[in-house]
This record gives sequence, C-alpha cells and structure tokens, in this order.
Amino acid sequence: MIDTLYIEAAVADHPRTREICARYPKARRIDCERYSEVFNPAAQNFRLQKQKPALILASKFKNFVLPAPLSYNIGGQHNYYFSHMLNCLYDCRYCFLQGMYRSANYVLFVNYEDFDRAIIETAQQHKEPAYFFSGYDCDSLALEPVTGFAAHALDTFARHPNAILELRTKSTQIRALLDRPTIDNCVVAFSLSPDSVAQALEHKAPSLSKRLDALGKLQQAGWKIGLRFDPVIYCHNYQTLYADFFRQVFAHIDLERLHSVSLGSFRMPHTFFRNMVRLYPDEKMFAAPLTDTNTMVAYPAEIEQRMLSFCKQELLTHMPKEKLFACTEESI
Amino acid sequence: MINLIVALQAEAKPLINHYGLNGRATAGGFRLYQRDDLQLIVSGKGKLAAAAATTFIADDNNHAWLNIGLAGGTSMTIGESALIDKITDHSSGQRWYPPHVINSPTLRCALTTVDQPQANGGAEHMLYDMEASGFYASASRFNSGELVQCLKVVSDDCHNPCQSVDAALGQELIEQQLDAIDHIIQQLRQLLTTQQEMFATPEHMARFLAQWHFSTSQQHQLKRLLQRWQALAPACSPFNDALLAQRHSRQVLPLLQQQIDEIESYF
Ligand code: SF4
Repeated sequence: MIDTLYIEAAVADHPRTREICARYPKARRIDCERYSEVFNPAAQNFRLQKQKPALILASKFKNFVLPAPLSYNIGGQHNYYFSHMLNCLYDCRYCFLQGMYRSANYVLFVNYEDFDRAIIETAQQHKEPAYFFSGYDCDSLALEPVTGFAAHALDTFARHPNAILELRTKSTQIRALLDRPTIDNCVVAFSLSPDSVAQALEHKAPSLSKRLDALGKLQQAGWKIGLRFDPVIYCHNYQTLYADFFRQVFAHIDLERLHSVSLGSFRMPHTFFRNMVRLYPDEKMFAAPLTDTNTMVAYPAEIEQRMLSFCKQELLTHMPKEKLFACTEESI
Repeated sequence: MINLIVALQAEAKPLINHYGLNGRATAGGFRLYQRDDLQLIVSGKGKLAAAAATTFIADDNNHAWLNIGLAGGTSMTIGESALIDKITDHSSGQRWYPPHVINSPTLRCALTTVDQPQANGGAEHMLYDMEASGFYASASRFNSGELVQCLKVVSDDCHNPCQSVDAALGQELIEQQLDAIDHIIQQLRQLLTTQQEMFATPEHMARFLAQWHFSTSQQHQLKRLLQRWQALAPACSPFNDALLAQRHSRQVLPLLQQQIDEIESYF
C-alpha cells in the first residue's frame, strides 16, 4: 500500500498526477523540485526502503527511447527500450534494479505523450519493424491499475503497426488488455520460473500458476504471447526442475499464439552484483559458484553452457526453433 | 545503538527520566546520557551545534538517529508531534527528504530550519526549528536516511510565540509525546536489526583469523566465502581435516572456495 506520494513541481498540475492522487486520498503528499532529490541521494538503503516504497510522480525530459541491450532480441533488427517507470512492485532477488538504484521508491514519469512521440519518431526511422521493450526498469503491468500506462501505449501502438511493443511482466493485472481489442503488434511476454525458484526468489510476485492462468486468458483473447525464461537459475537439480517446468508451461501454450521464447541464465554487471550481495549477504542464490570478470558476474562458462543447452534441448521438444531466442549476445 | 539528539536540557529531561538514562563523563562540552542501546546528547541550540553533537557521538558503527525537539508552526495544534519528511535549510535552500519506512500513527510534516526564531507563524503546512538541517546533514553521513529521523513537537504558533515557551512547558510537551517516541524508537530498533544482518560478521570468521594470518584483502575474500558457506551449509562447520591441514592463508582460501563450489544446492 502506497502511503507517500512525492510530487515533482513540474507535474503538480498534470491530469495524471491529479488522478493518481485521487486514488490515494490518505497518502501523505510531499512536493519536490526534481525527483532526483528524493531518488538519488546516497544515504538510502534499497532493502530497508523496499519495506515501504513511496511513489514519486515526475516528468522525464530526455532519453525517452534508448537502444536495447543485445540480449533484448526477439527476432527484430531494430530494438529499443523505454522506461516510463523506475522500480518494481515485486522484489525478485536476482533483479538488477536493487543493485542499480539506492532507492526502492517507484518513479512514474507521467508525461506519457513524450514517450509516444519518441517511439513514433524512432519507428519512422526504419523500414523494417522496430521493437520497443517496456518493462526494462520495472514490470510492465504490475502497477497498471494505477498508471494506466499499458492501456495508453496500446492505443499509440495500434496506430503504428510498424512499431512492435513488448510488455514484459510477471503480473496478473491484465484487465486493461482483456477490456480492449487485441492488436497484432504487441507481445505480452511473461517471465516465468519453476515454482520452487519463484517461491524462493520472486518475492511478492504472483505464483507461477497465477501467471499461467493470466497468460491463458490473454492467449484465449487473441493476444500474442511471449515466454521469458530469464534468468535460468543454477542448482544441482536443474535438469529435472526445468524439464518438469517447461512441460508444465507448454501444457498452457497455444503454439499459434506463441510469438517468441527467450532463454538466458543469471548474469549481472559486477558493481550491481556487489551491491546486491551487500544487501543480502546470506542469499543462497548469490552463494552459487559464480565467476567475476570484474565487469560481469555469471555462472562459470561450463555450467552456463551445460545448463542452457539442456534447457534449449528441452524447449525444442515443445516448440519450433525459429521462435527461440538467446538472451545473450550469441544466437541460439 | 539509538542516538537521541536533543537541543535543550529541558527537552532532554523527560527522556532521561523515562528511559532511566545515566549521565556519562564526557569531553567536548556536551552532556551525554546512556543506558543499554539508547544514548542521548544535549547539543545546545542551533544547526551547527546539532551537527557538532551528532558528529561527536558518531563512530564506525551503524546507529539509528532521532532528533527530538520543539518546533513552531501554524497548521498543527500545540502539543501535537510530527515526523519530518522534508527538511529545508532556510539560509542555504538545501533540502533533504528523510525516507519513511517506519510505521507510525504520528503525523508527518515538512520543516524549515531557520537561524533565528520565527517571529510570525510562517508558511502553511510547515514547521520551523533551529536544528534539524544540521542534524540530518551530519547524521545521514553516518547511516542510511531510513535510520535518521526527526520528531518535532509543536510548541508555538502565531498566537503563542516561542518567547512564551519556558523550560517547564517544553518539558511537559515532550513528556506528552513519550508514547509516540517509544513507538518510533521501537521501529528504528527493528530497522537497525535488519541492517545489522547486512553487515554481520559471518560465523567462524573469528576462528579463521585466530588460526591463520590473513591480509586485509584476504580478509574481504574470507568474509565473502564464509557468507557463502553460511548460505549454503548453515548447519556444517567449515573446519574439516583438509582445511585444518593447511599452513597458510593462501592455501586456505582456494581450498575453502573449492569446497563451497562443491556444496550441492537445490530449489
Ligand atoms: S518483476 Fe522484473 S523488474 Fe520486478 S523485481 Fe522482478 S525482475 Fe525486477
């Protein structure tokens, strides 16, 4: 429950700010000049703040759309991401946000129309379809009832079929999608992990069965579905764990509606990982054998390759190869 | 340790009595009181004094910090208290936003720290004091903002100017807020416990340091290895025969790492 709203001066009178404030009539409102005054100070602790995050309403001024990392690839040549929000309702222990930001407060940029403009301009630069990944610095749908961002973005993308939207989520907040006609240029991509991994690491996120249920409803309504198996987590029983898990997931999948599947194992920039270990030194997942090259922390190459090639093989018993993508710089 | 920073002896007195704090001999010109995990310092008036007192009792350990004091303002009733969630230093214009993760029924308010007492009541929805900005700027250098909080009790407004607040009234106003203060201290204690989990020295560290000599950088490696050990095999001791047979720390660390990498973990 959000009980504090920080409101940047520039958006104090924005209609979306007013709407969101009306949703939280009892919340304490604190005005600030720039969101960074609240979000960026060094003297903050992500783990402590995660106990009770506040919502910061702000305006973004630049860099609305950025080139996506190479690991974001589901078949397109031109890949971009955008972040209308920083931080997430959920608390996945492997999430890079906790290593990147000091604050666990949610920042929502309410000037959606500026994102629209940047997306349209970027898409128009290409003859081929351009892919836009939402849910890079947040979950795309978790806070949808409050932000209404996905509903807004879908209206925009509906008018620009050359732009493909990926909504990446672990959420079951799918009402906004079910309440409207489907569009062909949107992929609703569910991040999924085996139930025991989700229970141990994906704190506050809906259970695997609830995600599969949401996915089933969207698929039935005609939405294109993506599956994101990233990060795959190493453990000694990974073979039985992931083989059973893929079987369970694909029992819900209509291959006709399946747009893409991506697969990647846990990896993290060195500095983010160091911050994450500081927050949770006794986390079992961080205690696994990992190699640190001083730029990147990942499973040792031999373990990673063995695990990914096992998962790939298993996946290909359920789905065609053309729809499988690697979340690494190499291709599958 | 929970550090209480209080400007005046009159504000300190009810806290000293309530918590049974004992005076400590001290240098530095500050009066210090302590019992168990509570420490109180009387800083004297003004933001510089508050900053100096905070720095005076800070050390390498992580403490929670609570500035308790009187404040003026027109939008609250005299005798009410508020946790401060925005501090503005009037003379520099600098602002701080103490993050609020504690659950407390206490009201919240913004506050401006001024150099001279406010003659009129000041702006709406704003409290005024003379210490918070100095306190917060200093204490937030020593610990994370969630553990640095200010609680202010309204003592004056435009109808009751601050000149009318004497020591007896100041003492009484703080006394009336002891329940709220207790509650906040309790919450800070819980946060401190969570923070201590993050910085805890792993089990077995002392025995390793006693058994072998480790350089400073090796001690960092050892600490992380023992954290990993604790996460993966909390019920087992790392002191097995193979490890105890090693004579040098440079043999101990790789062997320990190898043993940890071989521990099976399951989801
Ligand atoms: S759902 Fe995604 S963004 Fe949210 S905490 Fe988990 S990994 Fe991070």
